Amino acid sequence: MKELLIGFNAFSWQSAIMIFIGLILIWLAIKKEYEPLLLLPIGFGTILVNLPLSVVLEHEGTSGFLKILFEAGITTELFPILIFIAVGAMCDFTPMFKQPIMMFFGVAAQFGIFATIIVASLLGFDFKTASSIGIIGAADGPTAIYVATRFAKDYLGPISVAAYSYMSLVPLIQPIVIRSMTTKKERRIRMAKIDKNVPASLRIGFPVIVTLITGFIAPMSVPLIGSLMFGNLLKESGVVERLSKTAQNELGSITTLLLGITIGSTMQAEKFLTISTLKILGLGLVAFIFDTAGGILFAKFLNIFLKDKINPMIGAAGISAFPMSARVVQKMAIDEDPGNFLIMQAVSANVSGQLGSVIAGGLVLALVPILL
Amino acid sequence: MQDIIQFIKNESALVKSLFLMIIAIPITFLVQLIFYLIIHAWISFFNKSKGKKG
Repeated sequence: MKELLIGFNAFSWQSAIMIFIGLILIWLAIKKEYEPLLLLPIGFGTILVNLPLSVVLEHEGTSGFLKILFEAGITTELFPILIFIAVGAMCDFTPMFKQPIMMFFGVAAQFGIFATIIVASLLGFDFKTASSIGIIGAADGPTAIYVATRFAKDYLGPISVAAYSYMSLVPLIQPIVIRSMTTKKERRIRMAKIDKNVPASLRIGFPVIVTLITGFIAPMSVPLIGSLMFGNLLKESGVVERLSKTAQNELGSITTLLLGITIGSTMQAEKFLTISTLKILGLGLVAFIFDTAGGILFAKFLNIFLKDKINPMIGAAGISAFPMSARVVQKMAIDEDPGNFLIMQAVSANVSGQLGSVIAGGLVLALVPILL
Repeated sequence: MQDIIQFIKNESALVKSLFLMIIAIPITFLVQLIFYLIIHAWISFFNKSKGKKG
C-alpha cells in the first residue's frame, strides 16, 4: 500500500508551488503568447521535474532523459550555440547597412547589462553570477543562456525565465520608460529617411569580417559570434538555401524545443524557490529599464551636437528584442503624430542591438575571467 | 595595465563590476565603430563604382 502512495508521500508544498509556476508559464505562453516557443517547453519541463521523485532527472542511479539532455546540451554549451546558428540564419542586417549610424544605439542600449551587473554586485551576488544576471539586459535569450551556462549554472532557470519573460514584456516596459524620459515634443521629432543601396557583397562579407575582427578582439566570444555569423552567412551566401532553411526551421525548432524543456528541468523547487530567484527577476526588470534609458540618453546626448535631431525613442529601439522594440517605437511615434514614420530607423537600431548584445555578451565572457 | 588588473582582482565584486563597465562599453563602441567604418566605406565604394559605370 505504501508503495502505491509513493507519489503522494514524496510530494512537497514547494513542488506544488513550482508546478503552479510551470502552469503559469504555460498559461502565459498559450493565452498571452509571451515567447511561447520557450515559455511553453520551460513551463512543461518545470512541471516534469517537480513531480514526485523527479524520475525525469534521475532514478535509482540511472539518468533520466532531462538530465541526459542537460549534460549533452547545456553543460557542453551546445544548445545555445545551435540556437545562435538558427538566429543568425534568420537575421537580416540590411536595415542596419542602410543606416549604419544607428549601430551606435545598439551599443548604448547595452548599458543595462553593465549597470545591472553593478546592482547585482551591490545585492551580494558574486562577480560571475552578477555578470550572468546582467546579461539579461542583452534582451537576447541565447546570449543570456550561454553566459549563465558558463558562469552561473545554478541560476540558469531563473535567468532564462527572466530574460524571455521581460523580452515579451517589452511592449509594456519600454513605453513607460520612454514616456518618463522624453517630452511630447521630443517624441514628435521626425527623421529623414535614408535609403542606401546595399551591395550583395557587403551582406556576404559582413559575417566573415565580424567573425574575424571579434575573433581577434575577444577570442572568448568566438563560439557566440562565430555561430551567429555562420548562420547569417548561410542565409546571405544564396548558394546553400537548403542549409539556410534547415538552420532557420528544423535546427532552430528542434534546438528551441530541447533547450526549453531542459531549462525547465533546472527549475527544481529547492533551487528556484529562493530569495536569489526573486532578486534575479527584479534585476531583469532593472536591466531592461537601464537598457531603454541608456539608449534614450545617448540619443539626447547626440542631439546636443546634431542639427537634424534624432527622435530619442530610437535609442530605446537599440535593445536586442527584435522586432518588438522597433514596433513599440513606431507605435508610440504614430500615437504622438500620425504622420511620423520611424519604423526604418527603429528597425535599423533594433538590428544593431542584436549585434551589439552579442558583442557585449562576448566581452563579458572574455573580460570576467581576467578579473577573477 | 597588468598592475591595474592585478589590483582589481583583489577588490570586491562591486569594484570589478565598475571596472568591467568602464572597460567593456568603450570596447563595444570601438568594435561597432570599426564595423560602421567598414560598412560606410564599402557602400561608398560600391556607389562610386556604380556611378562610374552608369
